[in-house]
Amino acid sequence: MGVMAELAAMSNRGATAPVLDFAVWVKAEQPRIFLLCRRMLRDGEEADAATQDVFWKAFKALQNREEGVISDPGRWLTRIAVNTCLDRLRSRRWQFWRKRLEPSEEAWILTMSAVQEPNAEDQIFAAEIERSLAQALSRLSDRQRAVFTLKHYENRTLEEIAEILELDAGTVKAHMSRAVAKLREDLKDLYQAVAKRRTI
Amino acid sequence: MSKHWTDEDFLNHLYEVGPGDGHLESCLECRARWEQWLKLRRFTLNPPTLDPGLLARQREQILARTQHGESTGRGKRWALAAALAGAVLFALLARAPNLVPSPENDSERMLLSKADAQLADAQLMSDVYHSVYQSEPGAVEAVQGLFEVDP
Ligand SMILES: [Zn+2]
Repeated sequence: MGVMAELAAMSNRGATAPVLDFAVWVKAEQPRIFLLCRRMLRDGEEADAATQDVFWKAFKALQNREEGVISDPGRWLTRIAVNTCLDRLRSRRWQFWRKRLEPSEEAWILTMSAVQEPNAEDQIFAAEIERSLAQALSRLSDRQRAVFTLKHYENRTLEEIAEILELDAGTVKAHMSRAVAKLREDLKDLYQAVAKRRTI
Repeated sequence: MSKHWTDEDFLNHLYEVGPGDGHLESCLECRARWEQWLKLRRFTLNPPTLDPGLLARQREQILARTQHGESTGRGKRWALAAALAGAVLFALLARAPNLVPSPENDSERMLLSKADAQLADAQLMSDVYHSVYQSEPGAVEAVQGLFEVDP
């Protein structure tokens, strides 16, 4: 079975419409995967390269497959993305550059053209939230960041995260507890800011 | 009934790390506050707008890579294999004493040095061929376990 036929047999996570071809699937999943990579790697250029790697690996894996369908393509792709990011974070070259980069110095790829749009303030506020959370996430270890990112942004259960990261549930919970403990004050500030904005 | 949850309790519950005392099931007041927390959380998930130009360029590169691998990759593989086979055959013919007479003039010597060069080329092509086509991306192996085979 070819890649296109394989993809045709898949269905999106939580969606009923089948994914018709690889290009359509890439377009649908790309923003989510790019944001996931950027949140984990804390660097736009690295995230760009990682996103391309993720889809290439997915494509190759689909080509090399013999039988069967992937029951949850979204989760499957997330797993490739997380592994790709963890590999990059582990590499010595990346560690070297990572030490030199501060989140405040990074070129965040956020469009400011949204200022012209009716919901411009919401967009700017969303960008601020993204930036402040990213700064907070930089204090976490790679594993803690992976666990927290999948929980906070992707709303995965700890059980799902354990499957994605191939860890037992207890370990994932321990990572999450430490992450929440480290981020407690930032999260309180974040939710207070959001609550305040919602009452304006 | 256990005591009302604090903001810290709600925060922990949001990330599945506590408190796990079942208080939400029995307290209408805390359940209403929990709904508010869920709304706040949804608001924090409002994704930042990504540069559409960046996404388009990235998508082009992703698809170009898959097309390159599918179409020109296969052609290149055949071309390399054919060149490799030709070069090896020529080198064997040139080196076999019973099949090819020893060089008696300059043109024959030139032909043999050319055969040596092609043997070196063949080795190079063989190395390139193996490095290009036998390497698999690391994560591909890692995802094999995800495949769920239909019975
Ligand atoms: Zn209560």
